[in-house]
Amino acid sequence: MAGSLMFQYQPGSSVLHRSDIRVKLIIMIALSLVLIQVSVFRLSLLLPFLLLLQCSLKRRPLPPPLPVLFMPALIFTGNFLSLAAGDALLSSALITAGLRTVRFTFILWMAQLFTETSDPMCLTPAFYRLLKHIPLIPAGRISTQLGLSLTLIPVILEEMNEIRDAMISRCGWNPRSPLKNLVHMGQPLLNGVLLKAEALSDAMEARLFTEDSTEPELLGSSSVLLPLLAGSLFILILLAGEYVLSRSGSSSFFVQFF
Amino acid sequence: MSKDKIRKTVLAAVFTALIAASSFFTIPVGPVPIVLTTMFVVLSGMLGGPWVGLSAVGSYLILGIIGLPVFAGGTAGIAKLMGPTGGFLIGYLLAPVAGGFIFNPPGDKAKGLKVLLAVLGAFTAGALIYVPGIPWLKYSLSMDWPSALQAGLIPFIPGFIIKNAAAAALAFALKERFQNFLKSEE
Amino acid sequence: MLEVQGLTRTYTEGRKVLDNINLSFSEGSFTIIAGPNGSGKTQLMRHLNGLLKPQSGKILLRGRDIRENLTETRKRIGLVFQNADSQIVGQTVASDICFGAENLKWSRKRINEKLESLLREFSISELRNRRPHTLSGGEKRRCVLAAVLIMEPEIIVLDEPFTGLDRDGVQDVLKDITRLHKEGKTIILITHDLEKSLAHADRLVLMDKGSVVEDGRPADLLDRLESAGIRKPWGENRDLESMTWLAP
Ligand SMILES: Nc1ncnc2c1ncn2[C@@H]1O[C@H](COP(=O)(O)OP(=O)(O)O)[C@@H](O)[C@H]1O
Ligand SMILES: [Mg+2]
Repeated sequence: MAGSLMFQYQPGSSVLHRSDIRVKLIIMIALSLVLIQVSVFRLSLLLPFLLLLQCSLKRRPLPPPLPVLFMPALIFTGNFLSLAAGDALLSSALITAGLRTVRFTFILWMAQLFTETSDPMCLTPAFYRLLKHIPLIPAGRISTQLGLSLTLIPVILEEMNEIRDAMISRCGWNPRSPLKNLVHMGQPLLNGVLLKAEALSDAMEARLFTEDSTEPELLGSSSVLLPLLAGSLFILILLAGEYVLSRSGSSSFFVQFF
Repeated sequence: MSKDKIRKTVLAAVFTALIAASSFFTIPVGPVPIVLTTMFVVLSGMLGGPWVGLSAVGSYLILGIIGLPVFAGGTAGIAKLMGPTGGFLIGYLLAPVAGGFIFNPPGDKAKGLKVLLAVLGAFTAGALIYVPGIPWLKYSLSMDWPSALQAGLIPFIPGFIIKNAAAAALAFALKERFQNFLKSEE
Repeated sequence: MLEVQGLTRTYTEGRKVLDNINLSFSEGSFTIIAGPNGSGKTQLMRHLNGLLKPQSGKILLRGRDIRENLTETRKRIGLVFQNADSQIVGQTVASDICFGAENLKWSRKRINEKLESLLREFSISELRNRRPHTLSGGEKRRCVLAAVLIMEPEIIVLDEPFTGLDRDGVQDVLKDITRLHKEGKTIILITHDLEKSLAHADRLVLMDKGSVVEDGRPADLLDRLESAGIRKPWGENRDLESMTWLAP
């Protein structure tokens, strides 16, 4: 099960793989923000961009897990039914629901592109480099905290499974008293967590943990400038094009929805 | 760095890991398997205090945003945060703060009062998750109030009661040990 | 020279977990501290680099109280804790090993050089990018040991480093410990597996219920182990040289 944590990162050497994680992160967040308001224009301009990135990976896209396929359908039906049940026209209900669904799919797609090409091991150093420019934010502490939790997740997951199995094998599960089950499982789990925290903080203190340590290394070669330029250029074109075109012709192309 | 700060950082990290790990993990309680994420979100504040809890949940959200599949059902990303259930994730930030402030008994309080505060803290914290969650759901799926409640609240009520009662019991039983850890006598 | 003078500690219940401990460890020595569970060995170790503050008594390193400069103390006295899993801080073996040096604010170049030499020394170069929790027990212990050594300590204290290891794991760790001793490090090894390691030590300290009950050369103490609550290494009249798991 611990393996599923990393199932999304696929090592490779494509352009996206070589781009700096910080840049990818910023562009992804910027595009998500642009998509808070959607129009046919925005979405149709984004499609070739995403397709281009997908093709640059030079491999077949991974089949998404089932619940992910299910979500857009759910969003569409949910939106459409409730819009149609309201006083919206059938056609506009269809368009709004459709746009919202496409938006969701696009964001999911971007997230997938990001995780597929970003080594989680480089994430915390990258985060540190991002945060340290923001005043008043303890960047060192936050990135250490993130790194620590990443190492602890599999350990704790294992412990959870062990405790559950031990309880089941000792017939500790009583289907009729779920509350008791939860408390009986939570107690050893939280005790274990505290012991772990005690040991870990001792070890960190013994190894002189400090916030302003030597900066963590950014692993691998990463190019910054080109992807940053390309990304901002794309967003600029998108916004500028929209501004210019929407003034000349007022088609439903540019109508914006939340 | 001071012992005190190290301990807070470590405890927050451990809670983050606990919250994240719990989203991969279902337990057979009653007829349907349930996910314990919300229980640990509440407990992170009640046991670690408001700020440790907040920083634990904040890092959990960051892990999800940067793409680790730690949100319910192994999903991740800003997409999830902006999707119909994103409001619940925002509610995760409120829960530990409330839980930590309400259940903060100095050692000498009467046992009865402690129990009361534990229950109050757990249920208030648990309820706060739904406060941004349900309007967000209503808005993002353009539902009306009855159907938003039908979809986002009513099916979860039994689980809500069980998990928050368990959180209260666990917080009551373990608070002193966690407080001693954070007090960090040398 | 590390000196423990009159160290005492009580918790609220009033029981003394450490009771007037007086010990001194000379440079380059190899001491084994043994004793039944709960006899206070780990508590003693946590005092040695200032993780715990003595309630009474003091600890001197080269004649100066270790609490005067804790950073210096912790650099000079490296602790390897009992549970390898919960002292791993980094996401890869390499980043975990570097943690201590980064906190000392060394330059990246110096850190990387030291890292390379440690990886070679411990023959774990091929593990450098592995996630620590995927390592075997023995590999984990050696990774942790390397992580402590990057700060170049003079004294290394190891708490039960053999627990949960198979024969190969024990041998690997033991090999590293004896090598470090030969290189001139002072070794303090906390263990009750005397059979695995006693042959290498030049001193044995036995603890029970928070006090030191015996302190002397291993050969002289062999007959008194049982009365101190330690199981005697298996075999009638075994000689000291055979008490190691290192292949001859
Ligand atoms: N925080 C604590 N509060 C009370 N008692 C403690 C605490 N930590 C350790 N002890 C007690 O101190 C004694 C010595 O423990 P320890 O040094 O871990 O023993 P050893 O390592 O020799 O097995 C034990 O009896 C333990 O119960
Ligand atoms: Mg011990």
